[in-house]
Amino acid sequence: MPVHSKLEKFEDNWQTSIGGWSLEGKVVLRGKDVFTELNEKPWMEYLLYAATGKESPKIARLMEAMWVICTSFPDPRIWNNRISALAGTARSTGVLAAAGSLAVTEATIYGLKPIKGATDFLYRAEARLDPRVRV
Amino acid sequence: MTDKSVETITTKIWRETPESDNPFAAADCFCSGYDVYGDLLKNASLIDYLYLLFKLERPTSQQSALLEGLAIALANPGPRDHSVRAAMSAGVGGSTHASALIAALSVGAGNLGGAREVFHAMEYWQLCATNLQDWQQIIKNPPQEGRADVWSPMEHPPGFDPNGISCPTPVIKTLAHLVEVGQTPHLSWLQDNRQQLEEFADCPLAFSGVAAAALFDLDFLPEQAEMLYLLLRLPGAAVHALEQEKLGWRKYPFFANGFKLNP
Repeated sequence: MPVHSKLEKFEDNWQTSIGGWSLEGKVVLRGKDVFTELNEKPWMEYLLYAATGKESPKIARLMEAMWVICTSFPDPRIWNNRISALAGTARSTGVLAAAGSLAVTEATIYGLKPIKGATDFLYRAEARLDPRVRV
Repeated sequence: MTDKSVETITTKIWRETPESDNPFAAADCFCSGYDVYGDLLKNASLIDYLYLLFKLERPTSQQSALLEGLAIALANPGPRDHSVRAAMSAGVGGSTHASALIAALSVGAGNLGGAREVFHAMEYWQLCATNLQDWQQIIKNPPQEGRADVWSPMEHPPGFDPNGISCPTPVIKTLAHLVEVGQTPHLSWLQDNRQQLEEFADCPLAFSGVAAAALFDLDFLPEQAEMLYLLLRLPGAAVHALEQEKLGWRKYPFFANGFKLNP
């Protein structure tokens, strides 16, 4: 059997620098101990650190405020919310309802596609205004 | 690579041999002993293969006809169904195609008209079989689910529609067809005793009830029946989502006038 150069080195091991749990009970996220170094963090700061590695109470607060007023209008007619409403009507589970809604949120007329498009525009506009910025 | 022995996957369903030039690609695939690409591909129907995957044995022609009839009956629950509406909602918003099916599964999993209801109806068949008194008793005193269950408790007898008035024509026609092609004991008994059972339940038989009886006659377990009910209803969700994606949100109900926010 020939050696498969691309895949064989990954066949029986899993390497990551993001995080992991050890049999001794230690949980590490991006090099920090979750129980002793990250245990006092507010949820949004923890999420920001997990996703980006940044530690910034200011950005976390901005994200939290955006989350409250921009990202989830509580109207059951909005199409992603409608999935959860239908799941409730059909007596599905809470997690299945939320997972279905979240999956649908990568939409064209609302949700993730407009957000990505707008973010991309802002990055490109910044680059156009300041040649030192590269997109 | 580590120097420890490689961990392996245990399965009775599937066996593969690798390609001679690539250990990460399969050359031969066997499903419960049957050569998938050398035999089943040419000789099996999709329904036969589906049965084989779940049961690890080939169906008889009667079993195949019964499962095929059920699959056709369930393939498109139509836009009245909550799971199809979920997929359509994904379509009108321009969501990813995978999410339309995920939405249909999330909603169609429930215990009101969904796959979890079929699971419970199968449990009723296991407990009561064709004993009318046992059915009367279990409908009157339904079993209580465990406190740690993630599902909300059943609010109606599984297999029956608490919002129904009379048994819908498609349900009656499906039951009659499955009795004819399957000639199986529990479906036949259900057809003979439907009205009596509906009196006990105080509501009409639903598709979930017919599906549970058919899958019980095919000797499926409740969890297998739950999975199949999820799978078999996806084609309708897929095509309705694609159609609504083309039509767009302006042609889909938004309840602009019918919505009322209570204080």
